[in-house]
Amino acid sequence: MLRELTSLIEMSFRQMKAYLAVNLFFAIVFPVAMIFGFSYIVRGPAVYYFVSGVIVLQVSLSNILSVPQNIGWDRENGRLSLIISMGVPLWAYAIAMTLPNNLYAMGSGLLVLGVAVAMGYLSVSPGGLAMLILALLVSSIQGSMVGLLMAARIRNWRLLQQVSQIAGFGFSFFAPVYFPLSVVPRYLLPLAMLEPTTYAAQAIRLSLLGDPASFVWDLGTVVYGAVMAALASKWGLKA
Amino acid sequence: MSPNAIEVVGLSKSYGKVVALEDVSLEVRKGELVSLLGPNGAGKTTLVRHLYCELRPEKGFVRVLGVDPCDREVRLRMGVTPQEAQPYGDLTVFDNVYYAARVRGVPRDKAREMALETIRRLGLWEHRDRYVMDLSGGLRRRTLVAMAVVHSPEVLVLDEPTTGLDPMGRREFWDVLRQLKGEGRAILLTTHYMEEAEALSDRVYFINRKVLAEGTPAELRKRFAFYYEVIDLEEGKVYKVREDEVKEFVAKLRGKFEVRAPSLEEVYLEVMKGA
Repeated sequence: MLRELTSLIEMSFRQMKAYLAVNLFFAIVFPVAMIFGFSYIVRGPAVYYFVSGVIVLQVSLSNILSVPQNIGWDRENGRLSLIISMGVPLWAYAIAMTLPNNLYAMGSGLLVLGVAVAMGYLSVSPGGLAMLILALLVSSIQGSMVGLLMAARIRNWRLLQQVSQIAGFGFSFFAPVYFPLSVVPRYLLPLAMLEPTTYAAQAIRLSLLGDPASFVWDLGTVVYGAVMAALASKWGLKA
Repeated sequence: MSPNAIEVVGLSKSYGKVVALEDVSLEVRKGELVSLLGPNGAGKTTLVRHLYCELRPEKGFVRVLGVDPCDREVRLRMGVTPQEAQPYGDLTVFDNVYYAARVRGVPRDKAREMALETIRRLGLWEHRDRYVMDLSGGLRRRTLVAMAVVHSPEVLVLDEPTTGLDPMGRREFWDVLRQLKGEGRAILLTTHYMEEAEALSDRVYFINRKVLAEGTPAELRKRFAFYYEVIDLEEGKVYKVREDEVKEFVAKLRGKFEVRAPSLEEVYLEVMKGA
């Protein structure tokens, strides 16, 4: 099964080549432009929120938005049936589908940091960088699991498209991503804690600061992702 | 050892209160091409989805090469084109066919060799490096078939593979099917086109939730030929005449005439009307 899985992963990377221009734009040009574009108005401690926010947006768009859309599109075109008919379990397909997105999100997140550091926006210690890589990894996997759950639960392509777009952008701008969790009113806190990006944003921002509290949020991110994975597995990905 | 490549026994399936299949039994022998004919919603695709384990039977059972198709090993010996399935548009023809072999566990070099051979055989050679999204509907269909046959499967299940193809594309596709059948593969084909079933099939099943009739196209035409069409070429009129009255009827005609047994399509309509 390992050979089949690696072939699927290789195939997913090949597919990215067909849309190389747009993939490179969103992975490189878009985050770089965000950092450059907002550098004039974002100053002081807010920089950490801004940089971590852009990283979370990249993770969210690559996973919470793209994963369900890719799976939904494949389902719409009968390719999940095709995959089953080839004797490939859908869990292997799901891994192959999400892994390139995870790597894409992580690479893009590190690029955002690189640009911000190069511009003298902020500095990150080696320990902070290691924490960031871990935070990016767990956030990206968590985002994929959220995307997978949406794809498992919603089989109507039109509905899935809408929900994933609202979730992808909504979780980036209606969660404490670009602003501190402490400013969220108490009555909205339970809602904020239901949003996956709340955990990812805290973990990523604290890692930039080199604060070990990042690990606690990493753990929260992992637990959240595990719950999503369990639910996705319960409902199962169907053709 | 069973001579059946595909065996379906007493298969039933419902979607809520809607009965899709009711006690359906059929078989496809090795080296045989069998067509499933039925109107939209007759359960053809539901049946096919059981054959590659996308659905599980509520009642009855399905065997492919003597084994439950949910056994992964047997699916590696099958090639399937699910209804409305499309190859990956963002991969080239070669990549689609190559990865179809790779994900079935074929080693890299062998997969490459098999993919190139299949592409050549199915007349896709000059398109091998083009993205599938840039191809015509007919070439996409052919790519899908190439993905289904690249690993030399013993059993082929093709769910409406020619829907949407122009007459030329369909005829070309028939040649491909004849070639595959000539290689000894068992083929189950679902189609809406009677002339396709008549031209290609060893046997035909008419289904509409259950099996309504089964036999070779010639047998079915004979069994359900309750009348003949007599065309009076002088007058340009068409008469439907009972079998036992044909001789007497044509004796009365003056000039040229033509007597024609009902086509498979007419038989099909007759059977479906009575269902």
